[in-house]
Amino acid sequence: MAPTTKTNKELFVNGILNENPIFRLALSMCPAVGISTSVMNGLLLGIAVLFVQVFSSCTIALIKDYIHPRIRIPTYTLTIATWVTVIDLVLAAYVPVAYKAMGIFVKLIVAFAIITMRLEMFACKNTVTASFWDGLGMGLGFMFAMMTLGFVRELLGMGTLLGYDILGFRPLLFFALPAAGFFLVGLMMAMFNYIEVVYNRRKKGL
Amino acid sequence: MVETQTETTAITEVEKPARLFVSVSPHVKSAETINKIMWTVVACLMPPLILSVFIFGFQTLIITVISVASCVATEAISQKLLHRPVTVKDGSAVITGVLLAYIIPPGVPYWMPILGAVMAIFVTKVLMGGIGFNIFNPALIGRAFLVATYPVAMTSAWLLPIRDASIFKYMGTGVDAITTATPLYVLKHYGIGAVIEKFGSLASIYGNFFIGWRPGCIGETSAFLLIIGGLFLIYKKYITWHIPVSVIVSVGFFTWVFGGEKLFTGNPLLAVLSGGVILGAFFMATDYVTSPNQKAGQLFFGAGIGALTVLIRLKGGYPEGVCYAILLMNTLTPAIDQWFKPRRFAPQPQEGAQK
Amino acid sequence: MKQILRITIGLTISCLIAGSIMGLVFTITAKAKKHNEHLNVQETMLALLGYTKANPAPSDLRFHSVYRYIIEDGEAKYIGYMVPVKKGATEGYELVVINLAGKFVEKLEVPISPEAAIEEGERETALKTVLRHPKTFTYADTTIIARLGDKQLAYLLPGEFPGFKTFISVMLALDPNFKILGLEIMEHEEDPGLGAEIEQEYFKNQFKGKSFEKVKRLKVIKEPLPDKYKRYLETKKWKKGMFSEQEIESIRSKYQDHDIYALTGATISSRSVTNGVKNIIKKFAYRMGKLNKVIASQHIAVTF
Repeated sequence: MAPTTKTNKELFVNGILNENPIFRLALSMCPAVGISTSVMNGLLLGIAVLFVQVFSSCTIALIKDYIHPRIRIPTYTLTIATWVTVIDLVLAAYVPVAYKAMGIFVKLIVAFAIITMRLEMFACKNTVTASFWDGLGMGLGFMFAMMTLGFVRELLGMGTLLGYDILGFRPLLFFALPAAGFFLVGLMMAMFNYIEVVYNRRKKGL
Repeated sequence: MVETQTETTAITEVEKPARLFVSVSPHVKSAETINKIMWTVVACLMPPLILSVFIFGFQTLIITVISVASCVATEAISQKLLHRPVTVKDGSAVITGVLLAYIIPPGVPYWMPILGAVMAIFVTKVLMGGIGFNIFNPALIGRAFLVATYPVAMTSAWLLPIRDASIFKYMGTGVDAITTATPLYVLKHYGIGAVIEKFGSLASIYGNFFIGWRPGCIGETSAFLLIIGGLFLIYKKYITWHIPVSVIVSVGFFTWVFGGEKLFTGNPLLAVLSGGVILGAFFMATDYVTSPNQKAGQLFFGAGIGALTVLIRLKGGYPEGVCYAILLMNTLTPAIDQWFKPRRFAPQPQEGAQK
Repeated sequence: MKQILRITIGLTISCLIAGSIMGLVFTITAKAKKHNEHLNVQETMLALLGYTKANPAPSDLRFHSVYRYIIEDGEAKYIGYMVPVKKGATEGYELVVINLAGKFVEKLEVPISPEAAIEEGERETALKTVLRHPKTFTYADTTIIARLGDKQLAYLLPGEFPGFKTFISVMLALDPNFKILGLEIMEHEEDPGLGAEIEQEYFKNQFKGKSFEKVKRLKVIKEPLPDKYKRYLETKKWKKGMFSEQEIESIRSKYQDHDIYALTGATISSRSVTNGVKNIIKKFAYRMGKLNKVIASQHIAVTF
């Protein structure tokens, strides 16, 4: 595949809307279902993924010419693992408050499909700048999706938002359980598809 | 596959006149429409409801009516909104509503079945494509959703049977009034001795439980009336005996083997009478859409439900497992249909002939 | 062949590069990280003893750790307690070896400083110099003893037991008479909304103030938690003037010897926490009794 022809802005928006990792690409569903129980969890995991995605994308874009095509996937995994370890250790050592909140999320990331997939699909064929914008868009798109899910699930499941009591009671505890994550992801996917259909119809009409 | 044969005979008969009809299956139409079957099932489900009013009080009737009304309303509204033909009249939503009310405890607040109905009809049935396309039994998904959402009410709102016909006794008491525990709960946590202590001697337990005088969900208690209803459906050939019998037999068998302190000392009769086994076996596992359609497959399906039920009861976190057992086997239904394919009448096609 | 060679070399080189980066970062950050972990445990311990930022711990509060090891010498099994002892002005460690019946066997000096003793690896190397082959030893657990001036304040016991899903790890604070001072849930994976409520104050604070005699026969009862007691237990939500002194005293004495109210819908989690706590305390009290007797009879100059 040839290098992308999109501008940086398009690449950035692409990750958030057109190719949203969870709602459009359906990647990294385990964390989407398991961890998005509250806005805070979604935000923290989103930040962790954002950093690892951007750093790994840039690294791979930088060293893409030296990677033997036969060992590219192991190289990606190693790159991600290195960045995850580095971020984990640095947080634990110098920002203990953030580590207390994010530690478990950062360690989860090594096996995330979305990061490997972005390295394979994009970073290994494009420049560092393009990869940076793509990584940023994907990371923010993931964060956006996780926070949307977290918002609905926390509000309906626990009656709170960011830990503050909003409703004073728990309307539907079901949403705090993992099964509700599947339902919600499914409904959000349907919504995104519906928006796309409507959008395309409008475009044709014009 | 059965159609293939009728089709070929039909074609040979029709061949003499010059006109040849080409139509999609099914080619044999019977007087038994969905509507008729569904309303008959509803009728068969009515006696336990009437009895439950005398066991648990008048509020069971209110819960059932609310459940049915909200199921029907959900179906009508969602189909209107999605621009689909409204299929309320076929009675399937009514059945779902009745069954949903039957498998929730009699002491729940009145608004609770409404949420269960939305989940059962909208998410499980309408979103999947309407009747015939749902993977899971809607009523059971409704219950599973309610158990997950309101675990306190759904696992503790049991009421003691009323003996003196004062059917308005429990009206107005809320969920907080935890009045009693189900036999299965007592059995799971305190053993058979506690069951006898609480519900009388074994002989009277069997008698009472068979008629329906025991704590439990609204419609599951009366084994007697449910069996009569089920037998009527079998007599009318709306359902076959395979699934109910294999469910009940396998629940009894596995309880007998693993349910006691040692192997082969469990009490199969108590296990069958004291939960939702009878209701599940006759009215839920036999749902046309979500159960296999070959006889051997149905036997396997029923046995699987029984085994899973006993597994959940003995080793799981919940005292009763019929609901989850049926839902789990529902997911296997397409696979079972694949495994137990009927033998085809035509000779086996040559390799590559299908292309 | 050439391909395989190139792949092998490429993989090796990438692994080496990644490994060296990780190693480098690890060495740079190791010290600060350990420091932070230590601080975290310290914070929990202080919180259990009732010291917060608003109510800081007095300067003469000291923590002393006792490490328990299981020592095997062929067929025979011993229990070794690595206890901190006074050595002139400084602190050192001694290994007190007790047989299974509770009789004193021997006393060995362990060449290790209190700072180094926090590290499991350091302890192991030090112990290897005193416990020579064929004796082998395995680490069992740690007890932390808090001391305020010359008064023993509390025992802090980290512990772990199976919950409804996976292990629940807790930290318990006991006073010298084994009365529970506090319970903190460190890690768990119970269901949110059901078993996860064990984290809530109204559950874990029920254990506060239970005497050793009561703990031995502590049970879980399935009754709804009285409203007033619940408000009393949620100390973080207390407002000024919510309870008068007398009220607090009356509620405290009323529920002091009461069993644990189960969480609604999560009896199994409640029961496993209660039984886990019960077992930890019972075993600990038994061991501590044995150890204290030995320490007294052998005149070991322990720091706690």
